[in-house]
Amino acid sequence: MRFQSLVYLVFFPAVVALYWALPRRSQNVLLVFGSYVFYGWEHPWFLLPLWASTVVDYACALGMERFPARRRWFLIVSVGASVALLGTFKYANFALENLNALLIDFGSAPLDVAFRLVLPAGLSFYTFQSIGYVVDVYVGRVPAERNLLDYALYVSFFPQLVAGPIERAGHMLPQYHARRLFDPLGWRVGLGLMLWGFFKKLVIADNAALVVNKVFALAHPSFPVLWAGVFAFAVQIYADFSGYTDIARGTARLLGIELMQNFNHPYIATSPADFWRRWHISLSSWLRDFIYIPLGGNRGGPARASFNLVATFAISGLWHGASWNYVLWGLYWGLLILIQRFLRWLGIAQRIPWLGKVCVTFAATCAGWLLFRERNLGQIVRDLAQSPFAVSCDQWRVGVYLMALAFFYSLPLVIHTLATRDFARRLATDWSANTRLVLETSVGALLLFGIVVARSVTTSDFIYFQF
Amino acid sequence: MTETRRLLIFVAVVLTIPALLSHLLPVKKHFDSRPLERLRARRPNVVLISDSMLDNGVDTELMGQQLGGRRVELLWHGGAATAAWYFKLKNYVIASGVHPDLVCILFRDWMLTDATFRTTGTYRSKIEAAMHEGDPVYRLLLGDDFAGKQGLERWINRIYPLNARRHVQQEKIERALCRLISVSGLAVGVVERKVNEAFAMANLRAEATEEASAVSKEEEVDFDPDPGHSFLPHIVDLAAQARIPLCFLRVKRYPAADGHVAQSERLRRYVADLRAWIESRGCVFIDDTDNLDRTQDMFLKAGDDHMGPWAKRRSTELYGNTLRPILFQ
Repeated sequence: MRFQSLVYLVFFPAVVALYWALPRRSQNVLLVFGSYVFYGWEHPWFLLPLWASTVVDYACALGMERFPARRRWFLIVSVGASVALLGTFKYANFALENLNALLIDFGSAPLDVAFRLVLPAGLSFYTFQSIGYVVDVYVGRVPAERNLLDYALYVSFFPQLVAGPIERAGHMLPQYHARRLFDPLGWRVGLGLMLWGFFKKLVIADNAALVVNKVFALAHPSFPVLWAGVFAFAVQIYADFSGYTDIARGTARLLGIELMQNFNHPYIATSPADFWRRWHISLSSWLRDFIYIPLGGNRGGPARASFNLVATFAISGLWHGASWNYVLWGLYWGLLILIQRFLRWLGIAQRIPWLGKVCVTFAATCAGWLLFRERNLGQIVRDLAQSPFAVSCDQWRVGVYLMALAFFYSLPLVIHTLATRDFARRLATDWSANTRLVLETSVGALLLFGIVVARSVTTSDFIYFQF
Repeated sequence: MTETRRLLIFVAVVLTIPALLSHLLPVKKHFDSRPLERLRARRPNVVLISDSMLDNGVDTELMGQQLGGRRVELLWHGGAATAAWYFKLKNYVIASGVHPDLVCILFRDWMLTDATFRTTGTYRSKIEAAMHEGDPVYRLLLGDDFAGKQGLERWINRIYPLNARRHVQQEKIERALCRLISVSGLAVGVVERKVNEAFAMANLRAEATEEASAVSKEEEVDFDPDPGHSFLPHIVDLAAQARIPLCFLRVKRYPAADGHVAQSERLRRYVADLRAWIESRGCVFIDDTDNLDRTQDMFLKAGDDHMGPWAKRRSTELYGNTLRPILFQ
């Protein structure tokens, strides 16, 4: 079921109404049941890997506590099962394609096997969340959850099941154990977040997608047209993914549950490392805690730390999709952060003014988005070989037009970024409750009006659904 | 004031104000009368209606020469299908008062009887540009003009006219930005043309052209002339009432190296039934599929049925050869 579908418009109010009429234990039963309906709505079989992951990880975590001497084995079984699940559905075909390419290169016949498995939506998200839980139990950060229902809710909570945020057990399980109270202020915040999220998706992301899809359909885009398309994609992917997160967080707030912040104005990041502290925060912190630090983190000298960093980003790239362009994108980010460290070591980074850092980081981010959006490696090479000097005046006009179009749709994001720097703090402290109400209501009405009149003519799925 | 009361005010205002405001905006964009004016000014003898394959495959002037010096007019837009063709015939050709010697619709395999094909998303705004509000045939085949077919969708669309306004705003925004670019010395129309040219079929990747040459939905169907299911009977009726000779030309898909096009048994049966029905209504049916002169090397890309720019002249001559006998009958 999709947030932007009509059926969700019936499903969600029904769940919320029932939810607040029930006692706590029954609330969790309803949420688990509702989450399974939400997830299995279009493809009921998607529930099978979800249930398998839930049961195996729940049992392994309990096993770790019950048999401390064998906890490593339980960890291996649990993580192995999650990786196997991911490997089967997400990476089997990719591995087979590459193996066949190698066999052909060495003059052998390719394997006559084909995997035609559909990737269950959100598999990468909930497997990472489950792995996080099991590792947290293993290292003693959280106790094993005894109640299967609460654990099932942790894995399947519908607002964040399909595209995150990738939550931590230490943050979510206590909330599922506690009694939830109806909070009208929280509701207002939640509804505001949902409106903003829908606006970002339906107005900004889907309109920017019109430019992106056009440009990336061209066989040989000229320099200005290509980079206008890349800029539009930067707008699209941010509005799309952060829009989903806002809807998820708003939805959860209406149910009395707090989800973590996943984005913090990433396009005003002052360095590549800062970008990853602001972009997909739940994934980057997961990778830091469960990949980078276990690999050794910053310990073991510069060479080892650099390897750990690049390896972590390569895994991050591969997590996004079974395709070499994603791996390249991950490696690119690892390399950027290494360059940033080097420039800081030379004392150059500190001398660049704030705006310069933001512009350079944004330009580097956009270059990265080209690797992310363009799956064909040959096309990436052709795109990067485009010269800005061998372009006709008409091509520049088209490029500027497309850039202006994408920039126009990104204006609400720019205003939001500028406004929330000082404004949010003042809202929380200086202004009276009634002034806040007037302001929030006006913005809310404007957002809904914007959705009605400026929604894109085509609606696409959330980009991160494919991961 | 309690927080609960504030929440109720928030919900009430946020839901009500946009609904009221959005009803003050124009329902849909104004009818695009430019093709109508062009038809009246040029008074063509032959009108060809189709989608982008028409632009790729027919040179207007050469076609005029091929057809004995007749004036030829092309009515098309990228992604046009039967709904758009119906309105182009009704609101442009017939409404212009011009009485051409022939109107010919070029189509692909199953297209003529798929009423819903290319009627949503960006295709919709192009259809709306050629239609007047409240068209009974549109309503019969595609539901309410601006609301959907499902009960809840209709109800929401009445309160929040989600489908009625978005094209208007989008085109306003695009035009305003074209105006911005036109500061560089070009007219707005020229900027729009340059943008369209940049994304012409010949510039697209192979996978992107697949949709443009799609025939219809995936599944194969039997021929169904029910006026409640397709625009075809309405197109035929319109032409008959206006006493305009109508011809349907099935274009050739990308052929094999020997010039033949593979067709399923069901498609052959469908085309035979379609031909019989069209001819029984006094119209002409031409199937270009078996025209071996239209060779593989004339096509833009493998699997695509658009002509390459290099083959436009040859393609025009072939279509001219096909249409000439009808006009000189």
